[in-house]
Amino acid sequence: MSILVVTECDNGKLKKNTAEVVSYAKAIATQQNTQLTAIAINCEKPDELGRYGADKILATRLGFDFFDAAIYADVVFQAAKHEDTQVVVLSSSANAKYMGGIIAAKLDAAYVSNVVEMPKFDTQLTVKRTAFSNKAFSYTTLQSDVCVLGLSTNAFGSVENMVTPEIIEFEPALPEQTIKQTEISQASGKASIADADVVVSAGRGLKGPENWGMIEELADVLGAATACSKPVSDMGWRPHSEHVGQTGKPVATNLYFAIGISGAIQHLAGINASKIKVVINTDPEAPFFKAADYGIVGDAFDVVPRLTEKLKALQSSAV
Amino acid sequence: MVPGMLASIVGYAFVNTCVGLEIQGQEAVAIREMDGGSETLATQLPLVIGAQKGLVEETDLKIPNMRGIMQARQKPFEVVAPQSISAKTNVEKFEKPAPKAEVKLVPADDLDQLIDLLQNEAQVL
Repeated sequence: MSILVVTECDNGKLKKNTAEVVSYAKAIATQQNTQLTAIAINCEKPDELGRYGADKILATRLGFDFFDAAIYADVVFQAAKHEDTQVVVLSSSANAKYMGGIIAAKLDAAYVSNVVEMPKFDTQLTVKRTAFSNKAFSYTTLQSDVCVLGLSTNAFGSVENMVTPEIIEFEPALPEQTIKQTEISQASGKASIADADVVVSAGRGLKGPENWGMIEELADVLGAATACSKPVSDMGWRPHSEHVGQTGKPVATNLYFAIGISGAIQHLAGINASKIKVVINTDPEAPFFKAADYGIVGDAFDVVPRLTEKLKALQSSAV
Repeated sequence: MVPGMLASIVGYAFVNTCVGLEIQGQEAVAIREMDGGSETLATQLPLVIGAQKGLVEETDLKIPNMRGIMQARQKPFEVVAPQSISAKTNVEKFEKPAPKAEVKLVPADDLDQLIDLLQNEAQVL
C-alpha cells in the first residue's frame, strides 16, 4: 500500500493546510503499516514536511511561478506512477480542486472530496464525507485501484510526528505549457476565507455598504477574513469573492461571526463546517440562533464597535 | 471535480472557478478566482471552463421569452444512446449530523462574557 500526499506552497512556503493534510495522510500510512511519500512542487524547504511524518519527499522545481494546474497534475500523476501509489491525498484548496479532477482522470482513479475521516479498508476503500452542503454525511466506497481523497479543511487536525525525511529531486519530463498567467491580484496582508482561523461575516442587517467599516475593523483586530451573505454580494455591497454559503465559498474556519445575517438554510449550508459560530442579530427569532454556539440579541451598530474596542484593549494589555 | 476530469479525458485546456471570460478566435483570456485573490490566465481553445458565480452578473442573465421557448421546439433534437460505464464510487449510506446543543445567549451589555467564553470555553480566541 503506497500513500502519496500532495503538498502545496505559496511563493515557496508551505501553505497552512500542509500540517493537516500531511497528518491525515500519515495516519493512513501508519494504519497501513507503510511509509508516507509527499510530493512538494516549488517548495523552498521540503524538509519541513518531516515534522508531520513525511518519510520520503519528492521535490520538484518548475521553471515558472504560477500554478499551472495541467502541469502540476502531470507531475503528481508521474509521482504516483513512480511510487506505485494507491491512495493520493489532496487538500480542499482552490488549487487542489483545480488539479484534482485532472489527477484522478489520468490515474483512472475514483475521486472523492469533502472527506472528514480516515478511510476504512475492506475489499474496497470506504470513506465518510460531508454531503448536501454539510447537511448530512455519506459513506462512499471507491471502486478503483487508485483512489484520490480530498480532505475537508479543518476536519482532521494536525498531529506532529517528527521524522527525518529522505528527499529526492524529482524531475519528470513535463508536457508543453498551454496556459500563461498574465495578471495576478491578491488581497495583500488580509487573510483569505479559505485559510483564516476567524471569519467575520455580515449581511442585510447592516442596511448598506457604507456601514461595513465596523466589520472590517473587527476583522482587523481579530486578523480575520471578511465575508458576506448572498443578497449583499448580489446587490453589489460586497464583492462576489466574499459571498459565503451554498452557492458561494464554503467556510470551515474555527470561529465564524455572523452579523446581521438571518441564517437562511443556504447560508448555513455553506458555513456550518465552522467550529464555533457567534451570531449577532436584533431579531431573537432569527433562524441563525438555532445554529449558533453563542449569540447576542442586539443591535450590530451598538455591539460590534464595542466588541472591537474591548478586543483592542485586550490586545494592548496582553502585549 | 467533473470539469477537470472532462478536460483531462478529452485533452482540452481547463480553467476552474472562472469568474471572467473573453474569447477572440482561438484565444481565450479567463479570470480565475483563487484562495485570497484572482489571476488572469491566457490559453487557447478548445477549452473547458468551470464556471463560478460572478461569471455572469444576475442582471445579465437572459430568460427566454414565450416566443423563444416555443421556437425551441423547432430546433434539432438529437438523442444519444447512453453508454454503459460503471461508476467508480458508490454512496453506501447517509447519516444525519449529531444534534446540536442550544445556543448560549450572552446579554448585549456583557461583551466581556462573550470574550471570556470564546477564549476559555470555546478556545477559539
